[in-house]
Formats: sequence, C-alpha cells, structure tokens
Amino acid sequence: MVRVMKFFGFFLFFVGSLLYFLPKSSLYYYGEKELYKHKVILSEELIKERGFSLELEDSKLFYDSLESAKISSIEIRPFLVHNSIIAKDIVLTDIAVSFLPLKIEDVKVTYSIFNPLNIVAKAEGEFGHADITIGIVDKKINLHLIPSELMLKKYTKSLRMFKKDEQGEYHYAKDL
Amino acid sequence: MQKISNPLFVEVITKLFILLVIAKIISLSIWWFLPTEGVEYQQRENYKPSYQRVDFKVMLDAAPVKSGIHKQNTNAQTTQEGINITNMILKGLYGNGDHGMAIIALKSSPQKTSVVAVGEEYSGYILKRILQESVAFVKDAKEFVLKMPKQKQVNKSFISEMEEETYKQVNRADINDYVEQRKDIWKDIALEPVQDGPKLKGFKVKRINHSSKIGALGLKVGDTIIAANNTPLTSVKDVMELYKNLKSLNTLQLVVLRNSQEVELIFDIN
Repeated sequence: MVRVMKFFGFFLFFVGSLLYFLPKSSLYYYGEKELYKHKVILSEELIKERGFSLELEDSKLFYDSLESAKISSIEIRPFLVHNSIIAKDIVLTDIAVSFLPLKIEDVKVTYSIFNPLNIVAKAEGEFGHADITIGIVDKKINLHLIPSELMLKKYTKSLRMFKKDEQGEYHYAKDL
Repeated sequence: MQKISNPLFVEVITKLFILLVIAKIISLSIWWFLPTEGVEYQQRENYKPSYQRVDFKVMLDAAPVKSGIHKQNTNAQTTQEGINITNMILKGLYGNGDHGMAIIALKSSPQKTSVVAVGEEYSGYILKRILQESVAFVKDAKEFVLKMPKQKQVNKSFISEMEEETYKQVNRADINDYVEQRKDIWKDIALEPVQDGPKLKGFKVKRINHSSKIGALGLKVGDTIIAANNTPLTSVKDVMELYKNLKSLNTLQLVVLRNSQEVELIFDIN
C-alpha cells in the first residue's frame, strides 16, 4: 500500500512538473496558427505565463479579417485531463448589434477526458445564459439558451432561429 | 562516524530531482517542435487609388493621341511644345508598371483630356511607366513624376447629361450619422446576402424606409448591390471596409442589379 501511495505521489509530482514546465506560450502560438486556418485571429494580446496556466489580456478577436470582439482576459488552463479556457469581459463589435446585446460577461470552454466526445461551453451575458455542446465525433453543435429580458424584448428576430420548448427555453442544433 | 543525512530523505529528493529533470527535458522537446511566434492581425493597406470619375465623352472628343515613341511633327504636338509637366494634371490611370495608360489634361483646359498609353508621347514627354497613384514621364533623359491630385470635387461636367435618378448629392452629416449610429442604418434598410454557388454575389435590398435618409438615395427593394467604388462586394468584410471608410469618401459609386440590368448610382458627398 505504501509503495502504491509512493508511486502515486511521484506520478502526481511528475505530472505537476510537466504542467509547470510546459511551453504554454508556444502551445498557444500553435493554437493560434490552427485557428488562423479557420480565419480566426486573436491579436494585440498581452501574454502572461502563470505557472500552471496562461493568461491573455486585452485581445482583439478577428473573424475573416473583421474585428468581431474585444476580450479583456482569457485564461487557458491546460491540465491535460481537464482543459479549460475562460474568457471574461467580452464586448462584441457593432457588427453584431442587430443580432444580440454586445456585452458578454464570461465564456467557459471545457474539454475533459471524463467527457471525451464533447467540448462543453457555458456563456453568461446581457443576452442571458447559454450552454453549448460541440460533438467531436458527430460534429454537431447544440445550443441551449435561457434568454434575458433584453434579448426577449429587443432581439426577437435572432430568437426566431431557435426552437422554443415548453419551459420557455430556446434550443438550436446544427451540423458542423 | 555520525551520519548527517537521512538516506530515505536523500533517496526521495534524488528521485524527485530526476523526475523534475525528465519533465523539463520533455517540455523542452515539445517546445522544440512548436512555433516561436503567433499570428497577429495585419491591417491590409488599401493601395487602390481614390475613386475618381472621368468624363469619357470629353475624353473621346479630345485631340487624337500620337502613337509610337518617336512619332513627331504632327500639328497637335507642335502647338503643345514648350508645355511644362507642372502644367499637366493626371486625371486617371489604368494598369501598372509597363502596361497601362494615363488620362492627362492641361491645367489651362482641365476638361480636355487625352489618353496616353505607356510608350506614347504627350507634349514632348514620353510615358514611361504607371505607378500606384502617379505616372513617370521621360523627357531629355530626365524622369518626371506626375501625381494624381487629391481631388475634392468631382468633375461635374457630365452630371447634367446623366439621368437624375442615378446621381444624387448627399449630405456628409447624414453619412456621418449613419457611421456613428450604426444600429440606425438597420432600422432603415435590410440587406440579404445573395449567393452565387459558394460565392457571395452581392447584397439584396429586402426592405428600405423611403422616408429615411438612406431611402432618399434611390435604392429600391429588390436591388442587389454588387459593387461599391469599383470594389466587388463579395463578403461581409468588403461591406464593413466600405462602411469604415465612408467618412473619408467624397464620391460613392454603387453598382446595383436592377431588373437583371446593372445600374450605376453615384453619390456626391458634400
């Protein structure tokens, strides 16, 4: 038992060291290049390595060369078995003004080996609350939206894309 | 002799140190294969010369241009000899480098334009090449560059001949209002992308409030806007770039498909 505990202790120490020494900036650059293939660019960000995580401050998000959002902070946690990206204080540019409220408080994207077939995301903002699931194998996106009053009042046109259920919640599904 | 260290402690520390070194080697190996810099958004420079309209009717009536580099002794040239390059105005250009042509006029009669191709002569100056916003002439082995003037006013000699419907004067304050209050524009007009297979062909006017400022421009429901200032509108990005630059434009030209025919709408922004 002691030997097993000892082995487990050493293993945790090794994984911890590996996470600490992981070249997080370089991994982020690799991710940026992959995103670029899909016309997504994160620009002007200030990169800070934080031991076990990576923080990006004041970045601008471009899609297809169009400035789409300003993101105050993004924290990337590559914990191997449980990876997450937390983006806070997102302000969408005027392009989206007709479709949804511009302020998004936070978005948390998670990928865990305990749910290996799905990428899960949660978002909270002036639009309300959204739970998003992206199927890696079936390549489907499912969005479950609980709209805010502002969204219900002023953005009814956008809500038409969703299916409304009996509880007054909205669902959207699309093949990727 | 007394032992000063605990062998178990030393063994654990040694093992942890070895694990630390292995972790570092692995991370360095990963780092070796990863890029050392990311992707930054580069604002694309707009190298297009400013959109300028030229009176083609006057151009066609202008004196015939001499072809051939050393073709001389025509009456037209004799009368124009002694003209300095500073007396010339570059009214338009087409092409790049050794291929293309320039539209030249004299300051004394700016409406009398001549089309000069590369290699041709104008008033003793031989057009050598077309640059981005200028042209290079050669005379007596010296090179002269004639730049496109920053034209504030559109040449209006042709306006009276145009259909009133396709030419309109627009108040700059109205344009600025729309640029600053971006949401307002979508209250007055609704556009829908028109696909031509996988490509975007233009933007169809689905709704327009005719009593609004944008409604007064002459766009009609069913029009498909396919180009603006000679730039095809084939993506949302093209529209947004146009929108971003609206404040700096003096003339806006829209090409719309109306009843399967291309119609050019000109807006003089004052």
